[in-house]
This record gives sequence, structure tokens and C-alpha cells, in this order.
Amino acid sequence: MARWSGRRGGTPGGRLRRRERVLVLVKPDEARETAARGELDAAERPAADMLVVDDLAKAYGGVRAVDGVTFRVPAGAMAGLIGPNGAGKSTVLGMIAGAIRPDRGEILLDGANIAGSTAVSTARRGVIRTFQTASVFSKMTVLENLLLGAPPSPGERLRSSFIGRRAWRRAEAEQVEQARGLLARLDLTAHADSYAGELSGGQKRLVEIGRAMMAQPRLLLLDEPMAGVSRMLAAPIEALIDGLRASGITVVLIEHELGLVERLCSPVIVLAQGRVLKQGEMAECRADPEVRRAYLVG
Amino acid sequence: MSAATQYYTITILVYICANVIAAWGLDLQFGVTGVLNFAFIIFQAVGAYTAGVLSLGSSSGNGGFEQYIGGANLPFPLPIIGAMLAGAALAAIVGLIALRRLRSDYQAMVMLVVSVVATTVVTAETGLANGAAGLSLVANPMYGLAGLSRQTQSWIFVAFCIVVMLVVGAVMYAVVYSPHGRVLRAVRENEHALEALGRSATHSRLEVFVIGGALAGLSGALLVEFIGAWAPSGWLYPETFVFFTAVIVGGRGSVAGVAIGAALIGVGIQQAVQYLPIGSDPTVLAAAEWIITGVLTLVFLWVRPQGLLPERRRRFAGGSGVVTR
Amino acid sequence: MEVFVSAVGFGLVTAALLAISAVGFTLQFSVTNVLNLAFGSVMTGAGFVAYGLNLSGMNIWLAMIIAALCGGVISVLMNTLLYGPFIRHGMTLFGMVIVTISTAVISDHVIEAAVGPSFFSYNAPAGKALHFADFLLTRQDLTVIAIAVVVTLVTQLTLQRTRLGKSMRGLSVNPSLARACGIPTRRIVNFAWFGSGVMAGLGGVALFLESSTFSATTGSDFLIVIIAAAVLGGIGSARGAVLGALIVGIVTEVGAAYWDPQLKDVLAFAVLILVLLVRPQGLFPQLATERAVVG
Repeated sequence: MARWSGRRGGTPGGRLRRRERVLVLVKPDEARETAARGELDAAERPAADMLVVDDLAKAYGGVRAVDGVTFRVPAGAMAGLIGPNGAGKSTVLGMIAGAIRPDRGEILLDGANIAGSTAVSTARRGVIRTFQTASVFSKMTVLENLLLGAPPSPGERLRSSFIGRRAWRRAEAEQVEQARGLLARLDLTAHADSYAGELSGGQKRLVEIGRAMMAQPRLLLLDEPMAGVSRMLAAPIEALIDGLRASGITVVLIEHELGLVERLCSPVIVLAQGRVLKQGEMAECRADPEVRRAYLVG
Repeated sequence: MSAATQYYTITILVYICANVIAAWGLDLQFGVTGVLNFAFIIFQAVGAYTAGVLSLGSSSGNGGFEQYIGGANLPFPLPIIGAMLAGAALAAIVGLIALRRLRSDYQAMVMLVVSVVATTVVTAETGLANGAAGLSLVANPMYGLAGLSRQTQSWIFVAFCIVVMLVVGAVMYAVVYSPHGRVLRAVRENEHALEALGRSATHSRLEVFVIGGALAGLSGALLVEFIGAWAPSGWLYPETFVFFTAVIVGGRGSVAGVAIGAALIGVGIQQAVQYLPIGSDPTVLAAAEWIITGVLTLVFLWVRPQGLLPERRRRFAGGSGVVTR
Repeated sequence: MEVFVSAVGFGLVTAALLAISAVGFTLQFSVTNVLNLAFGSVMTGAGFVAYGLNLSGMNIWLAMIIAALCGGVISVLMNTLLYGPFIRHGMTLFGMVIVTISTAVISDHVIEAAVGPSFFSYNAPAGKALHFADFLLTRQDLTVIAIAVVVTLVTQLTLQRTRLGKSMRGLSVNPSLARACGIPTRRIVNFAWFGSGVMAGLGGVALFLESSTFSATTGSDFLIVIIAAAVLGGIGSARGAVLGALIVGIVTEVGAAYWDPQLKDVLAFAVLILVLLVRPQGLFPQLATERAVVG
């Protein structure tokens, strides 16, 4: 099973002990039980916060899209990032993911500062993101899309096309099996060999999230997962995200659908005009007068 | 077979082999990975020049009627290997400088300009590769085989070209239909999504640029050793367009498809125009070749952009094998 | 010093040639987002129309006007019959590059088949070389410069002052918004193609005038230099195109005077590549982001 690199940082006084992490799509009730029994493997973390964002800023020309954003996300939590359009949510996400270079600030992933890293190296550290428009590989099958979600394996090297075929064929078969299992969970088995570009918006979103899950991320960034999703698929996608929360992956979720945020997210971080207005539970945010003024209605 | 028919067949076969190898190189770059190499022809040219220079010997020999840099009298197959290395090296340099995150049509323009610069410089600086006159008197390596007729030697060269083509084909299959090939296609489909999954698109693009450059160089070496000569008029910037047509018509990303496309476009059109009722004026024939190539590209882009033999859908073992839609 | 000044003088003429075409090229691109690599073919076509008229006795300047109008019509036809349909068919940006190159290849070789591979020249006396302040320019040169100035002014005025121009600029900045505001997209696009086609025609005839001889590929060969000027100035900006034309024109002529005349185009290209690598938006960036093509 492939593992993520990420040797730097960790607890002071020692390297982080890495554990084999098996992605288990746990049903919510099951998860609550096992958590209560204290057996949920993935929740064991030496550091308390998986993600700490400190004084993050980015300006475009004269416009300060992000102007000193600070928040923290505990390990295993599903944080909601909400705010009006133009508040800087996607920019913050982009900076965490490494797609945008911050002007200043720190981004601590499990203690290690990743601010300014490239998208590729950030992903290799276990930070996986989805995009506002579901970014599937259109002229590749759904199965291939999922396979590409798995962490980069030695089989993908150029030389593996010629030598060591038996080894990577076996690894690939395992990944295929894992992907098929995921497809069953996503109710997309019938589309395993369909080109991803031919699916509906909601189905593409399912594939995109499934692909992110194949990556076994430490931190998952979901950028408006409900955007472009028909009502028919909204419930399965929400269930999927709920399952993610239950399995203990740390998630940061940008969403406009506040109902979903209320049901699933804790903490909730409210952004407006590039700054954090409030961080707390959804109920607190609803009650806060400043937040109400900027964004929430009732 | 009469001598004339033999020569005709030999020529066609060699050209087909060289064109197919080159088209595979461009397919790896453009068809599979989506790299817009509008300067493709210069890599074939550098291979031809290198192979020529490495087999002609020093330029002061032969009475010094050709000027060029370098020069060695290397035995077969070293000039060909040198050509591949030259193609790869030039691709590495051009790739590092010119493969940028520009929008696709800009990128195409940058490459076009590189191509034009190359022909201009080589034509003007006669010391590099004998300027506009180009290299000549490059000997076919098989002509050195003692005790055989010229025709037999030529057929041996053909056999050699075919073997090389088959080997390159096997390499292409191995790369394109492997997990590595999957990553390359993902670069073509959505490089930002791929980078968000921890793979470097830049790395992949440079890699196929270099491999494609080597294949182009190999193709050039085979051609120059058969034709015996190579000049800038033969590798002006529009020549790249012919290879793009071969890839588009044959089938982007399909190894067999591109081979068919290369054979049809490179050699097929050239033969076909001779049967058209347009007389035998060479200018008109040449113009007709270009016009047909252009029209074919447009027709295929409109009617069948996936090409004659489209890229195969990858399937995996297990599952019910049912495909919806 | 005289060499320098006269080189600058020649540079001005080259710049004028470039300016006429570069403004047309950049206008086409900014309004429709199509990098029309068949622009050079339109120039060649118009140039030969003028040649035919000139051969039958017409004054070259009158022939130029007619040829320019032909250029406009041909461009509109190209878009209506070819580019537009492909765009609506869903062609990507790069796909359109291949479409325009195919069109260029077909056009150039149709012209070549028609006129033959030989070289031609106009029956147009260049006039005496006029000396002033070390510049060595013929009346023909001065006329070309005058045409360039007029074209630039008219374009600038149209874009800034008229409703048509404002619509074009709106379309170039935000096509969907423009459409939503009720701007008659199709008509504006056709105007843009016609106008730039006229400039291609003027540029083509001017190019043929200033070249000692011309052939079926002269226009397309010059296109790369035009692209260099347009991109240097910032593709999409008419002002930028003129500035780019001035820089490229003068740099290449001065370079040819002091260095190797055969490599003067290489200088222009080296400048272009440098600009594309260091500052791809050019000097006056108008189009910062990628957008869909306008149908």
C-alpha cells in the first residue's frame, strides 16, 4: 500500500511515526460506535491540529483577495469555509493546495510549514483537493480516473513500461480492485468503463471525490462539491462526504449550501473580504451579528 | 521485378518507415501528452545533419566543398545513434526554454518561431551545415557491404529500416499502454487535476519532448542515409504540419492509427497526386499535395477528429464488462 | 552615424508595413480570439489581386484599394464558411490553430498553383529617393508610412470613439457579457473580420511594393514577423501593435546594417521569444486570461 512522503516537521523531538492508513468508508453510525470505543485508528494523531493557517495573505494588483486569514482545523474534523462571493475562500484553498503562492503567512500541515510549496509537492504530502468544476479526465474511463487518484506508484515510471512488469501488474490489479470497491460504494459500477467526460455533473463530482479518496489524503480540500450537481445526486454526494467525515480524514469544505454545512461541518469558519469573521460552531456563527450583516440571513 | 520497380518499392518502403517513426514521435508528444510541438521538423533535421556529419568525415576532406561543424567517419550504426542523441539533446534545450505555461495557441506560435529561426540560422551560417546547399554525398551504410549488388544492398537497408520501425513500434506500445502512458494522457486531459494528484505535468512534457526528439532524429538519420543529401529547403516550418495531419488523420494516441496515418499522408498522397488529372508540372503536383493534406486535415477535424483508428479504450480485468452508453 | 540614421529610416518603412498588418492581426485576435495563421495568405491573395489589376494597366494605388476591399471580403468569407462553423462545432483553441494553418496551407498553394513558382514585381515606379536629415526614402516609402499612420489613426478612433468600436472592445473583454447586453455579436464579429481583412489587403500590397520581388509565399513568410510585432506590443492592443512594429522594424533594420543582413529576421524572432518567455502578455497587456473563442 503506497504511503505519502512528508518527513519534515511533526512533533518536536522526533519524526512523526507514520502509520499504514487504510481508507475505510465507514458508515456514520458505525463510526460513532467505534469512536466511542476509542478504536478508530485514523483518529490517533500526536498533533492536535492537522491544519493551521496563520496570517495568510494574497493580493492581486491592488485587490487584497486574502488579507490576513488565520484559523485552525483539528485532526479528523470537517471544517466548513463559508462566506459571500469574493470573500477569498477559493484563494485560501488554492494557497493551501499549493496552486497559488501566498504573499505572506504560514500553512502548517501537521506542524510542517508548506506555504509556498508547489501543487505537486503539496499533493505528495497528502493534501488532495477538488475543483469548483469537477475536474475529471474526460477521455479516460472512470476506472482510469480512479487509478490516477492513487498515490504515485513506481509502476508509473517510464522504465516500468519495460522492466518489472510483473510487479506493477500486480500492484495495478490491487488498485483496480480497490477502485471497483469504491465504484460500488459510489453506485457507479455500471460506468466503470465509460469515458468520464460523458457523465453528468453530479456523477463527475462523485468520480472526482472518489478519486481524491483513492489518494488516501491526510487533508482533503473540497471546493464547492455541490456546485453543478442535480438534486438527484445531491443526497448521495452528501452521504459520501458524511462518510468521509466519519472515517477520520481532515476535511476543509467550501460550500454555499449552508444546510449541508450546518449538518456536517464543525468548526465553521466565516470569511468576508479576505478576513476571518468568526470561527466556531454553525449556531454561534448564525447568532453573531457581524456575520449576519455580512452574509447569513437568519 | 524490374530494376525500376525495385527502386520505386525500396524508396516507398524507406520513406514509410521514416515517416512512421517520426509520426510516432509527434504522437507521443501531441497525441498522447498534448504537447504542441510546432517545431517538430527541426528535430528530424538535426538528426539528419548529425548522421550526415558523423559519416562524411572531416569537412576539409573531399576537397572541402562542403562546410560543416564536426565531422567524423564513424562506422554504422554510430551515426544513427548520434542522430538520436542529437535529437534528444536539442529537444532538451528547446524544451527547457520554450515549453512554458502559455495558452495553447501562444505555445504553438513560440514553437513556430523557433522553427523559422532554425532554418534562417542554418541557411545563413554556412559554416554550420553548408547553408542553403546543405549536405550531400552522404553514403548509405549498406553500400559498404562487399560482394553484393547495389540492389541487394538497398534491400538490406530497407530490411534494416523495417526492423527499426518494428522495434520503435514495440517501444511505443509498451509506453502508451502502460501506467506511465496513463499519466501522459492525463497531462493531455487535465494537467491541473493531475498536478493536484501529485504528478508533475512539466516533468512528463519534457520527457516526451526528449523521447519524441530522439525518434525524430532517428527518422532523419534513416532518410539522410538513404537520400544522401539534406538541405534547409526540405525542412521548412510547414513540414511539421504534414506530421500533424498524419497524427490527426491516423488517430491521436493510437499507435497503429498513427502508423497508418503516416503511411497515407506521407507517401500515399505523394503517389496519389500523380494519378490526378492535373498534368505533370512538378509545381502543380507539389501544390496539389499540400492542398490535399490541408483539406484532409480540415475534413477529419470536422467529421472524425478521433482519426481513422481511434485511441483504444482501456479496460481492466474483473467487473462485469458491461459498458453503459 | 549616417548608416544608423538611414537604417532607422528603413526601419520606419518596415515598421509601417508591420504596423498596418499587425494592427489588423491583433484586432482580429482581440475581437474573435482566433489566432488566424492564414492572415498572411490573405495578404498574398490581395497582393496578387493588385498585381493582376496593375498588370492590366491600373495605377498601383487604386489597385491597392480594390485589393484591400477584396481582402476584407475574403476574410469575412473565411470566418463565415470555415472558422465560425468550426468554433460552433466545439473546436478548442489549439484545434483552431490547426484549422487556420490548414487554411493557410491550402490558400498559399492554391495561389501558387495559379500563379506559378516564379517571382513577380509590380509595375510601380518607386520615385526618386528623397534626402532629408540623412533619411533616404522614396515617395513610395513615404506613402506607405502615410498609409500606416492613417490606418492606425482610423483604427484608434473607431475603437475609442464609435459605438462599433466600443462594441468591439466589449466583445474582446467579455464576450458573454457583451452578448447579454444585446450587442449584435455576429455583426460586430463580421465587421472585425472585414476591417482586419482590409488591413491585411493594404499590408499585403504594401509588402509586395516594398519587396523587390514577391511570390506566393511572401505573405505567409512575413506573417511570423507580424506576429512578433503584435505579440511584443501585447496581443489585443492596437497601440501595442504599432509600438511593437516600431521596435521590430527599427531593431531589424539597424541590426541588418551593423550585423549580418541575413540574420535580421532572427533578431526579431529572438526578441519575440524573449518577450514570450519573460512577459507573455507583451508591453500593453490587454488579454490576461484565457477565454473561449467568440462564434
